[in-house]
Amino acid sequence: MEKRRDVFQAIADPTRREIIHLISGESLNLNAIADHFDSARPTISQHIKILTECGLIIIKKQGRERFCEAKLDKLQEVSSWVAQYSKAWNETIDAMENFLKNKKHGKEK
Amino acid sequence: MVKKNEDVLISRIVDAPREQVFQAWTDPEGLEQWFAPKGCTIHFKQIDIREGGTFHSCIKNPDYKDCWCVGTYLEIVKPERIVFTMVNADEKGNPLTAVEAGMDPEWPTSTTVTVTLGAIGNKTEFTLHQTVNETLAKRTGAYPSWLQMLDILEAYLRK
Repeated sequence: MEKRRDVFQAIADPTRREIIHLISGESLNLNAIADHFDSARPTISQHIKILTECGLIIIKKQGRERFCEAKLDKLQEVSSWVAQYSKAWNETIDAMENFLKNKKHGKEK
Repeated sequence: MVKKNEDVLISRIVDAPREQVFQAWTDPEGLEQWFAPKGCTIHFKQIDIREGGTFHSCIKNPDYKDCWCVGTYLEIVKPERIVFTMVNADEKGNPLTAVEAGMDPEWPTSTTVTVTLGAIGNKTEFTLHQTVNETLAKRTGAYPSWLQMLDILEAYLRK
């Protein structure tokens, strides 16, 4: 069975989030990334493989070196998904209720 | 089931008498204390709460640019009904199209908000209706969030 790979799976693991963090500023080769972690190198390789399959990393060859480059625009899917649950009016009405509650308590004092 | 093409419609039982809820919606000082989304504050540059009266407000979001809005009070029926328009605007009160305001292009230039208050003993049956598609309203919530995220991302990448 083919495993589902998407950006949500990419960021589900703390090590993968750390890898994204590491390479978001500069492209790094596999050794440099692996050196940052206590985990075994194959474990890090596996995480990078998943990140690649999820579309968050592309690997660029420079001579013998393979550099991991972050493709952060993929994270847009995450922010869009989260944002659809932002309900401004509901928050405003919550604020109104709190305001009325505080007012009521203020009067009783 | 969520129906498509349905306007924003929010109903709630509020644990306060409707006179108080009405007061909260029609007292400028009160409005400044609560009439803004989470994490934001609102300031009225001008507000005249009576039928035909207008307002010019600015919502400050610490993570986003100031959001100016103008509107007209169409109906004020104490203590049960408040109807007003909301139009995106600039600092001077000139109306802006959705695109100019940085919103979803489908967002209407003007929406009408109707607040209806029913009395249930000491509680209030509160209903808010805004003349804009609910799906679109949720979608536009994405816009500032997305900008915020890009800003964070950019600041982070500059490090």
